[in-house]
Amino acid sequence: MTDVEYYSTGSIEIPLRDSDEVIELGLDQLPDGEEVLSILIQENCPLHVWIRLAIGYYKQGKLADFVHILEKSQPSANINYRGFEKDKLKALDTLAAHYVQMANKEKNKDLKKDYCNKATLLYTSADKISMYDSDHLLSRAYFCLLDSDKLDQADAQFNFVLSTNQYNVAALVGKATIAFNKKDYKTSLNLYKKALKTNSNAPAGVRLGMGLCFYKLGKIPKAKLAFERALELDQQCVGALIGLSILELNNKTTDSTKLGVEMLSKAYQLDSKNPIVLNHLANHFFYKKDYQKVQQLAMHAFHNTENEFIRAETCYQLARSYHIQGDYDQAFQYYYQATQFNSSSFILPFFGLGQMYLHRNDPENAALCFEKVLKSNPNNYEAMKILGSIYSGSKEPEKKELAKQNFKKVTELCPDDVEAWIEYAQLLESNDIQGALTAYGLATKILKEKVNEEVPPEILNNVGSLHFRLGNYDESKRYFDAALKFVNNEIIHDKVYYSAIQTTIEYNLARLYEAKHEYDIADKSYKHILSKQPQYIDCILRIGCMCRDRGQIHEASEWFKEALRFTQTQPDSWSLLGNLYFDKEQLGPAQNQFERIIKNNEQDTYALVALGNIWLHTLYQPTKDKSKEKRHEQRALQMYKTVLKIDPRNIWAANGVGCVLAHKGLLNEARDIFAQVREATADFSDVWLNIAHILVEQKQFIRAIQMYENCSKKFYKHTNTQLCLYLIRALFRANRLAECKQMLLKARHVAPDDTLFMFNLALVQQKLARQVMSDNKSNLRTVQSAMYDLKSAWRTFNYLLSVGEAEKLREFKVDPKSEAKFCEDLLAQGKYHLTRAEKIDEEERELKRRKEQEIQQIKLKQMNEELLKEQEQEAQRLALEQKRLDFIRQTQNMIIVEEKFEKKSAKKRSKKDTTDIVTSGSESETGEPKPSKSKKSKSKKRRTAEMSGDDDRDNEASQDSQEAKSSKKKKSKSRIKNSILSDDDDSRTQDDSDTEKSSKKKKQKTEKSSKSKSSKQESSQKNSNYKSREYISSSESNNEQEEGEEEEEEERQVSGDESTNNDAKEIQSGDEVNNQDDETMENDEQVEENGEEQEEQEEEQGEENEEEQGEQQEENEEANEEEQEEYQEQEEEGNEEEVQEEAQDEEEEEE
Amino acid sequence: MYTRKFRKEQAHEDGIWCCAWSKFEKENIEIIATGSVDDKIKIWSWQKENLELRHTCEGHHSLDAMIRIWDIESGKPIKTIDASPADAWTVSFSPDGKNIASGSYSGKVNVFNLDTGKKETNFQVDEKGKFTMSISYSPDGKYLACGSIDGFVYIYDLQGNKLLHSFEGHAMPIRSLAFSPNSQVLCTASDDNYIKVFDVQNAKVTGTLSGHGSWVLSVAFSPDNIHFVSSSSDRTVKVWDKEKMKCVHTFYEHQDQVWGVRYNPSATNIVSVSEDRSINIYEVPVTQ
Repeated sequence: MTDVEYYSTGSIEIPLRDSDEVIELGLDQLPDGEEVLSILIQENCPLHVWIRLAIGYYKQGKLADFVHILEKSQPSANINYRGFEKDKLKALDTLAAHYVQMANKEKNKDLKKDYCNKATLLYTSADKISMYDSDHLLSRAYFCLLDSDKLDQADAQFNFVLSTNQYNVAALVGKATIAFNKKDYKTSLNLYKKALKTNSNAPAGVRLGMGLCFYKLGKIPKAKLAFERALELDQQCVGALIGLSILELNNKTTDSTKLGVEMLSKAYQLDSKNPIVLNHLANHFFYKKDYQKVQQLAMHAFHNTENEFIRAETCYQLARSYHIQGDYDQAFQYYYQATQFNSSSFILPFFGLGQMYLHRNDPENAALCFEKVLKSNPNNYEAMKILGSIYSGSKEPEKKELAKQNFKKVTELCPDDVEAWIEYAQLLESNDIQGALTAYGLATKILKEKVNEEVPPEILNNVGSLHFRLGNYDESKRYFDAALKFVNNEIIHDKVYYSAIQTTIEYNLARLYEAKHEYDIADKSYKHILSKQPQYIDCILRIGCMCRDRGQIHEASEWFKEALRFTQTQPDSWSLLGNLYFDKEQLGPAQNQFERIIKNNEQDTYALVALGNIWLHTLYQPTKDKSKEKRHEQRALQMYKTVLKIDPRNIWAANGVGCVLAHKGLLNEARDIFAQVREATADFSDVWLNIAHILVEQKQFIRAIQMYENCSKKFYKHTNTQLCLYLIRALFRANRLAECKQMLLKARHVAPDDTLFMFNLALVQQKLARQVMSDNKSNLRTVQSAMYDLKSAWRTFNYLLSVGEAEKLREFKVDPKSEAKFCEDLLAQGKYHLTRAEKIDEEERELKRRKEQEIQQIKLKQMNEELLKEQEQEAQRLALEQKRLDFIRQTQNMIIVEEKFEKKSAKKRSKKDTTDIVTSGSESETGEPKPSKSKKSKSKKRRTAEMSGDDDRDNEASQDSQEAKSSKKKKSKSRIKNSILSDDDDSRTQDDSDTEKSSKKKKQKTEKSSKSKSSKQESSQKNSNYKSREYISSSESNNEQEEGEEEEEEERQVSGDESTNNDAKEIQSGDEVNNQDDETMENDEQVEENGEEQEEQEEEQGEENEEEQGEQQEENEEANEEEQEEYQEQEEEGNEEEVQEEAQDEEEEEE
Repeated sequence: MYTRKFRKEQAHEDGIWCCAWSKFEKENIEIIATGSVDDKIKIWSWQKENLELRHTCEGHHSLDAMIRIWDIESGKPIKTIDASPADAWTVSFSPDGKNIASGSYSGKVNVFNLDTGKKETNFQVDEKGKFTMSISYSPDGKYLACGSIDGFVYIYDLQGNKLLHSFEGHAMPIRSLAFSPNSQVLCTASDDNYIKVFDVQNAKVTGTLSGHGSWVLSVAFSPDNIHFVSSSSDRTVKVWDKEKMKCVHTFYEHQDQVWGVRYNPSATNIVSVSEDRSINIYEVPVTQ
C-alpha cells in the first residue's frame, strides 16, 4: 500500500529504447491498451513500467487492458535490470490479486473456479521467485480469505508479515477481517484501530470495518461516526452507505426512514448488484406494500449472491410478499427455502413457515417451527401463544400440558392479554374447572376495565357451564341469565349469529333446570327449543333421557329413534338406544346399535367399551359351554384392548380389563388395575364396587364392607338394592349375621316384592336362630327373640312355597320347602332350648339371689362388727368417763378450768375415732372388691379377643355375641368360642361355593361401571369442543392490538390471517358448544342410565345371588348335619367348660 | 315462617321408617308415634314444644308380617293380626276407626275388622296382581286408593264396591299416597322423583310436580286443605301449595333419607323421621 502515493502521481513515463527520451502518458488519458502494449514491446521497457501502466489502466477501470499488459509482461518485458525479481513478483501478484477480486465478485461458479485457478497458478509461480516477500504473502493471505476453510492459513500468513513488520496495515486489516468473521468483534476492532494508528490515511475500508464492529458491539453512535468517516473518505463506499441506512432505518422515525431509504437508493445506484442493498430495499418496499418491487429486488439479490445468509433473507423477503398477497403455496416454498439456508440463527422465516403449516392444517410441523422460534427467543410472546393454541388442539395430554404452560407464561408476560386468558381458560376447562373460572374472571375483568367492552355471551355461557359442572347451580343460572339477556338485546343486530347462541344458552338453562330436578320447566324448555329448531338432536335426546329416568322406557326409545330420523351418524342416539336395550337385557339389539357407531367411526371408544361390556355381560349368564365362555372373554378383552390402543388412559376400558381378569380368577392382577383406575378418578362408583368385590374374594371383609358403605354414601341417595345385596353378601360371609339381617330388612323395606330378599332374610334369621340355639349360654330373651325370628323365617319359607316361588327359587338350587322343614326341626328343638334358657335364667337368678344374699350377709356381718365395735368403744368411753368421774370426784377440789379443758379434748378424740372406723369399713366393703372384679372380667374379655383374633370373622362374631350377652359375660365366653368354630366350618364351605358366583356378580358390576365411564368419556370428548367458542372474542381483541415494531408488524399481519381462520372455526363452533353442553349433560344422563342399568342388573345379580345362596343352602344343610353332630360334642365340651366356668365364677364370687 | 322447631337425635337405635301424629283426646295432648327398624315403636307426647317419650312398644319385629294394635295410653299391645308374609306391607285405618285395610303381594286389598281382628272382606284392585306399595282411605270413607309397585294407581269405591279408576300414574313404584281433607284430590309419590296430583272424580292429572332429587318417599296433606308435604331420599322435606302447584318451602334438615312426614291436626306443625334416626318437628305458617 505504500504504492498509493506512487500511483497517484498524475503521469507515467515510458522510457524509449536506447535513448533518454520518454513518452509521458497522463494517467487520466491513457491511450488504447493495444497501442501502449506495442510501444512497450517496441521500446523493450523494463517490467516495472509495465506494471505501473497496468495499474494505471486498472485505476481507470480498463480491466481488460490491465490484464492484457500484465499477461504480456511475462514473456515480453525487459527484465534486464537489478531487482527485476521483485517486479516480476509484483506482476504476478498483482494479476493474481485481480483474479482473486474477480473470483470474489463472480457469481457463476464455474467462472469463479476458473479465476481461482488462474490466481493459484500465478501465486505458485510467484512463490518460486520469493516465498517470503511480505506483499506476496499478504496477497496470498487475502486469496486464502476467500475460502472459509483457509482462514487459519491466511491468519498464519498475516502473522508472518506482522512479525517482520508489526505495523503492516494490510496484515492488520486482514487479521481484523478474520476476527470479524469469527465474531470476535472486539479483537477485530482493536486490529482496525491499530491499522488506523499506523496509517491515519488508511482507506475507507478500515473505517467501514470499524463501523461494523461498533455496530455489532452495540455501539451505535460510534458505528455511525465510523460509517460517516468512511463515506467521507470514499463517496462510493457501498458498505458504509448500507450501514448508515440501516442505522437510520432502525431509528424508525419517518425522517430517518426516508434518509435511510435515500442512502439505500444511492448504494443501489453505486452497486445495483449488491444483495444486501437489494434485500434492504426489498424490505422497504414490503412496508410500502409494493410487493411487485419486493419480488423483483429480492430475485435480483438472490441471483447476485452465494452467501447463504443473504440468500435466506432474500427468500424470506420473497416469501413474505407472497404470504401477504395470499399466495400461500409460493410463500410456503420460499419460507421453506429460507429455513434451509441458515437454519439456526435466522428465525423469522420459521415464524412464517409455521403459519403456512397452520394454513395447510399441519399443526405438527407448525409446532416444530414455532418451537424453533421459541428456542432462540424464549420469551417470544406471539410464538408462545400460537404454540399454546396448537398444543391445545392436540390430543396428547403431554402437549395439552405444554399448552397450559405456554399460556400460563403468556399470561404472566402479558397479564392484559384477554385473548390469551380466554384461551387459557378454555384449556383449563377440561380438568381444572376452578382454574378456568379464575382465568375467565380475569378475562372478564380486563374486558370490562381495560377494553371497556361488555363481556360477550359466549364467555358468560362458558362460565355458567363451568359453574354447572361444579354443581353451583345458582351461580350457573346467574351467568346463563346474563348471557341470555345480552343475546336478547343484540339479536336484532345479527339474527343468525345470536339466535344460535340463544338456543345454546336456552338449552343450557334447560339442562340446569333438569339438574335442579325442576323437570317440568326443563321439559317445557326443551320442547320450546324444538319448536324453533325441530332438529336440535340434543333436546330430543334429553327428553328421551328424562322419559327413561321416569321409567318410561318405551317413550324414551321413541324419542331416541326420533333423533335418528335426523342424523344417522351421530353416535349419541345409537349409544342411548344401545344402553336402553342393554338395560333390558336385549343384548343382540344393543350390540347392533353400538356396531353401527363403529361402522361410522372405528375409533369410537365409547361404543367399543360398550361392546366389550356386552361380551363381558354374557360371561355372567350361566352357561355350561366353557369354550364359548372363553371366546366371549377373548372378545371382551379384544374390545378393551382396542380402546386402550386408541386411548391408553381410558379408565373404562382398563376397568373392563380388570373385570375380565377377575373373571379368569386373576384377582391380584385385577385388583391392581382397579386400584389404578380408582387412583385416576374417585367419581366412578363401579370401580369402588369392583375393588370391594375383590376384597370379598380375598376375604378382607372389613375393608370390603367399608368400601361398599362408602360407595353407597358417595354415589346413592336412595337405598340401592344392588349395593345392599353386595353388602349383605359380604356381611354374610364375614359372619356378621346381625348386621346382615338389618341390611336385609332395609333392602326388603325398599323392595318388598323381591322374593330373593325375602328368602335371604328368612335364611339369615334361621341361621341366627341356630347360632343362638347352639350357644348353650344364650339368655332367655335372646332365645325368645331367636325363636320368634325362626318362626318368621318358617312362615316366609312356607309363604314362598304357597305363592309358587318355589319353582323360581329352585332354579337357583334353593328349596324353600326343605328350609321350612329345617325351620320346623329347629323350632322343635327350640322348645328344648327355651326350657334350657329358662332354666339358665332361673339358675342365674338364683345365683344372683344367692350372691345378693351373701352380700347381704357380709353387709350384715360388717354391720354387726361395726355395732360391736361401737359398743366396745361406747363401753370404753363409758369406762373412761367413769374413770374420769371418779377422778373428778377425787380431785373435786382442784381448779375447775383445767377440768373443762380436758373434757373437750377427750370429746374430740372420740369423735375422730368413730369417723375413722366408719370410713375404713365402707372402703373395705364397697370400694375394693368392685374394682378388682371389673378388672378380672376385662382381662377375660381380652383373652377371648386374642384367641379369636387370628381371624377377623371370629373376632367380630365374638364381639357381636359379647354385645348380645353383655349382661352375662362371664358364662357365655367359652361358649362363644364353640359356636364360632362351628360357624367357621359352615361359612368356609359356603365360601367355596360362593366364590364362583360372587365373582360373577363382580363382573356384572364392573360392566356397568365401565359403561358409565364411557359415557363420561364422551362428555370429556365433548368438553374439548367447548373451547372453540371463546375464540371469537379473542380474535376480536387481536385486531385491536397495535403494531409497534416494523418487523413484528409483519408477523402480526400474518397472524391476522390465522385468526381469521379461527374466526371461521369459531362461528361454526357455536353449535359445537351446544353439543358439548349437551354432552356433559348427557353424561349425567348416561350416568343415570347406568343407574338404571344397575337396577336391572341387580335383578340378574339377584338371581345369581339366589343361586349362590341356594348352593349355600345346600351346603348349609350338610353343614347342619355335621353341625348337629358337632353340636352334641360341643354340648359335652360345653358341659366341661361350664364346670370350668362355674369354677371361675366361684372364684369371682369369692373375690 | 318455616322453621325447624325441634330435633330429637338418636330417637331410635336405627333408621326410623314411619310416623303418625294425632290428638289424644282423653288427655288433650298431641301424640306422635314413630316406628323403626330397631324393632321398636315409640310413642311421644308433643307438649310445650318438647318431645317426651311416653312408651316404648317392643315385641313387634320389623317386617314380621303382623299387624299389631297398640294402646296409646298404656303402650301395651291390644291385638295382633296375622297377615301372611308380604301381605301386611301397608295399612290404613278407616276414618271411622272400625277397619284396617292392608295391601297385598298380589294386588288384593284385605280389610280387617278391628274389634275381631278377623278379615272382613277382600277385593282385587289390580288384575295384573302387582305388589301394592301404598294404601289410603279417603277422609270421607268413600274411597280407598292403592299405589302399585309398577306405578299404577287404583281408586276403589267402597260404597259401590267397585273399582272406580285405574290408571298409570307413574312408571315406577308409588311409595306413598294421600287424599286431601275434602277427599277430592289424591297425591302420589313415586321413585321417579315426581309427585302427581289427581282429581279423584275423573282421575285427571292436575299437577306434575318436580323438585325432589331422588325417590319421593312420603306425602301427607295438611288439614288446611291448601298445602301438602313430601319427603324424599334426597334428604329434604318440601311443602307444596296445592293451588299454585309449586313448592313453597324446602327443609334441608336431615342427613339421610326421610322416610316419613306428617302434619299435626291443627296444620301448624310437621313431623319428619329419617334413616338418620332423628325426629324433626317444623313450624309452618298458618294460612288464613
